[in-house]
Amino acid sequence: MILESELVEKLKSNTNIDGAFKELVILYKERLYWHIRNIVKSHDDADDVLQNTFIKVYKNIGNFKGESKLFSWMYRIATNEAITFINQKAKRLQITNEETQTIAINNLAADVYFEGEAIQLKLQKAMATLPQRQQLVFNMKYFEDLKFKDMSDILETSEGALKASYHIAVKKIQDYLTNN
Amino acid sequence: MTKNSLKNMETGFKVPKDYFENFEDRLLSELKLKETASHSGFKLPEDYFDSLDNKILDAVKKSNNTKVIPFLSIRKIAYATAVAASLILIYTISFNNNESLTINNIETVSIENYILTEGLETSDIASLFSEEDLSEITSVKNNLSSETLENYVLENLDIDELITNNN
Repeated sequence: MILESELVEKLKSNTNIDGAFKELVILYKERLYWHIRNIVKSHDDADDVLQNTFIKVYKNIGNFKGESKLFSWMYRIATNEAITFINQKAKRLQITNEETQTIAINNLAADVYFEGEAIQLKLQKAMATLPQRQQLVFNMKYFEDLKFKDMSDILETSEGALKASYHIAVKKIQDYLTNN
Repeated sequence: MTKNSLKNMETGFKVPKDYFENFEDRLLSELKLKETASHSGFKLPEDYFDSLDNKILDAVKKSNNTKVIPFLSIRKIAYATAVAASLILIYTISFNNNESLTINNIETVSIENYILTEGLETSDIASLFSEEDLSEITSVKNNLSSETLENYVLENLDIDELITNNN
């Protein structure tokens, strides 16, 4: 497998940038897709946001300074794109972000790309009760199995704060599932 | 170093406050949760990732071809300002020209001031009148009765002046 630093070099030099970009897409498409999907919930929305994320990556690769890992940089773009997507949707419908999320979750029951088991839906509903940041932390650790160290890079928050945030999230979700 | 002293030596390692108190709690709650639902339940259309690379590359190319021109560059702002300023100027000038200057548009005070300060000659005033206007004035004169004329002369003119003029 190609090294991340080599890939960055290829992307920054003007020779065969398309080839290097394709490698980048192959390398990250699945991880970024799931990261986005967990935030926006619906497959079609995730597909849109994922494309926008890669377009942004392509256009801004020249500005990538290499201070953080390419991986963290791309995750950060994907996170921002997904959250912007939710905000824009909320603005369009003239409702709050939370209401947009509730609608997205309610739509899941009829979504062909969602396994309609009661527990999964309940889990999503439980997550929706958390603040956006805690939802993000929970998704990244629980479903995406990212390391706290990487999450700290992506979210630009200390590992300690993230761990605390995650445990609070787990506890709240557990309580929700017991009480509902 | 004896075995005993090594045993008593402090390692320097510390743990966060309440670490052990909450350990089982933290571990169990996560394990329990994973037991109930470890998967998000999200599914994918079949072969979604297979065709994704080309789809993304196409989208990137498309967005690159329709080059995004920055809406506001300083140069653009300067051009826009210049155009706007000249448009306003042209508009103002042409607008004023359209409203042609007539005697009715000018305030009486301004006309009075003009006549007083610019020292108009009788010929200047006469030039403002058309032939028709002048003949009208003449006709007015002709209509005056000799009585009115006499009264006018008596009330307004000095005899001396008349004499001087006749010289």
